[in-house]
Amino acid sequence: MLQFPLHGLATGSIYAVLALSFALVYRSTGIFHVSHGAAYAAAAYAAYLARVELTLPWSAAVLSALLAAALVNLTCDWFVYRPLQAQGASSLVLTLASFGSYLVFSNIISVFAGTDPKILRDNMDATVEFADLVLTRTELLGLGLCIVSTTLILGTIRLTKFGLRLSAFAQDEELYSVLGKEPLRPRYQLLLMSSVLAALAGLLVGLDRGMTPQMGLGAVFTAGVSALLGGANLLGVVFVALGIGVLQHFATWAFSAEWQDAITFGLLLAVAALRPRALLPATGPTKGL
Amino acid sequence: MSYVLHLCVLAAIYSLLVQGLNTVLGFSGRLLLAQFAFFGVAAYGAALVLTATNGSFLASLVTAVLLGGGAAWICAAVSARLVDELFVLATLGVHVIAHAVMNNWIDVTGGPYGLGAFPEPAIAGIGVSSRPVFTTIAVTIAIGGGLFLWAVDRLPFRRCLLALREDELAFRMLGKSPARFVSDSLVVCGLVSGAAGAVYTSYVGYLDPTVFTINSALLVVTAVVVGGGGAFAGGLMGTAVLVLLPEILRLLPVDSGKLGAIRDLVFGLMIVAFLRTRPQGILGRYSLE
Repeated sequence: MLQFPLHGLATGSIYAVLALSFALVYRSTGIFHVSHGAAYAAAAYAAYLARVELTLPWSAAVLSALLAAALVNLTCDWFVYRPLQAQGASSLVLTLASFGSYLVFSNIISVFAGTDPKILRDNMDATVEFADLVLTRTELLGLGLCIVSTTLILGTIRLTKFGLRLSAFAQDEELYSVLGKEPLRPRYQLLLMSSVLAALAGLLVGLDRGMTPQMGLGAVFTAGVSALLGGANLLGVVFVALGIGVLQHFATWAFSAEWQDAITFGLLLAVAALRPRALLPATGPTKGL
Repeated sequence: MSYVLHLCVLAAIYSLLVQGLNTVLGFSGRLLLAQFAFFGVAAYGAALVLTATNGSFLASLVTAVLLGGGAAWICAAVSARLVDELFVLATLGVHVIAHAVMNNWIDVTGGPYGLGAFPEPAIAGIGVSSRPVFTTIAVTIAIGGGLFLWAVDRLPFRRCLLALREDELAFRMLGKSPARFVSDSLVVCGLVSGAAGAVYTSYVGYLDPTVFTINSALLVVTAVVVGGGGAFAGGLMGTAVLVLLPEILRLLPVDSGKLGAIRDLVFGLMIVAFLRTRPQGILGRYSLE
């Protein structure tokens, strides 16, 4: 009986890691960073290149995933977001530009790696049993990483002085720089934290379901929905993402797998139609970590 | 010659889509991602009417226009009150749900297998599928759609949309409702996209959900940004880019399987480059800032 929600939680844990990483950027800079999806896909492909094509050890695969995600995110910020924000661009322009960067990076992957699905699998199909519950090793890894990374990120932000600085920056960048602090530092720290999480999510999905160059778009949309529904509290974002995973598993069981994304967005539209105030964008008083 | 006529039909379809999107993105400053839902619903409706009436093109055109408008009206009901990324995600949600229906309602849409073998489109019993005749009809419809938008352009409606885009607060101060105007602009977009759907169905004679993906919708978004948002001439320029650029890229010495990815990559680069250096697009009068 618990088997279904457990598989759902395992899927949800990948969403949750990506949603948390999306929310770190979105709630602090206000950028609806769609090309974060490309960073996530790039991480999965970099790991595939290292592990399967070049048969390097796992540590090299993880490292290359981290580098790929950070490279995509930093390039976006250097060449797209920062110059546009310096020009005083509106959120419409930033969102358009992030879709543009998504097209660029995801299609660079398509050109070099081809569009056929690939999978990063290393005897991860083996199952683990507790009582009468069965999980694959990948699912267990996903759940573990989700718990560890959520605890680490939230712990850092809530309990340390470093985290206090990040929240101050996220809440009000202008005030932060008026106080004589360099606002680029927390910006890059957040972007790098977010890249690490995106790389982990990319690795997990590469192990679990495999990868395609365009997989980032759907994933980042799920992350965006979680960030908007979860709102001002990062823990809320994680719970919404886990909930979406469970809901999708029930939808697959009740209808078919094809309706998964429709379920995520049906949830968003239902909230938008019935209680639009429950959606918390990263503008005005609901901004910040 | 036949190739030139083919490009003319493509240009007719794209000009309806680009001009329709321009009404929402260029004039009211909201990034609509559901346009290919309107286009797709209308195309499937046109296909069903074509089959049911044994090839009446006019009946399929009228149905498609009404269905496109109706789909837009439904989309507006959930999204018109939202702003910025909330609007983006809500309209994306409408697209995802419409796409899931196209994929899963197999009795009506044929699901992934698609719909085909429509009777030959005819007007008053005279077949119109020969290429020169169909091109004339497609171009006439595109001009008709253009005239409709031009007429809408003359109304105070457009000034209201511009005012809304430039300063929403001042607009509300004048006693106008932003949601109503956004909703009307969506319906205008839906009607015109519906006409494009009818032309597409009769021209190609085959429909499947892969035509109506979010990536294709993003190409139309690029055309509006590059051509010039908020200007009639900008929409025409955007159409020219959308039709001609893939043809030019065909001359590149690369594997034809990669052309799609290279096209999307170039479109992504163009969005970013234009937003950074020329936010008003090639022929736009107002910059998206």
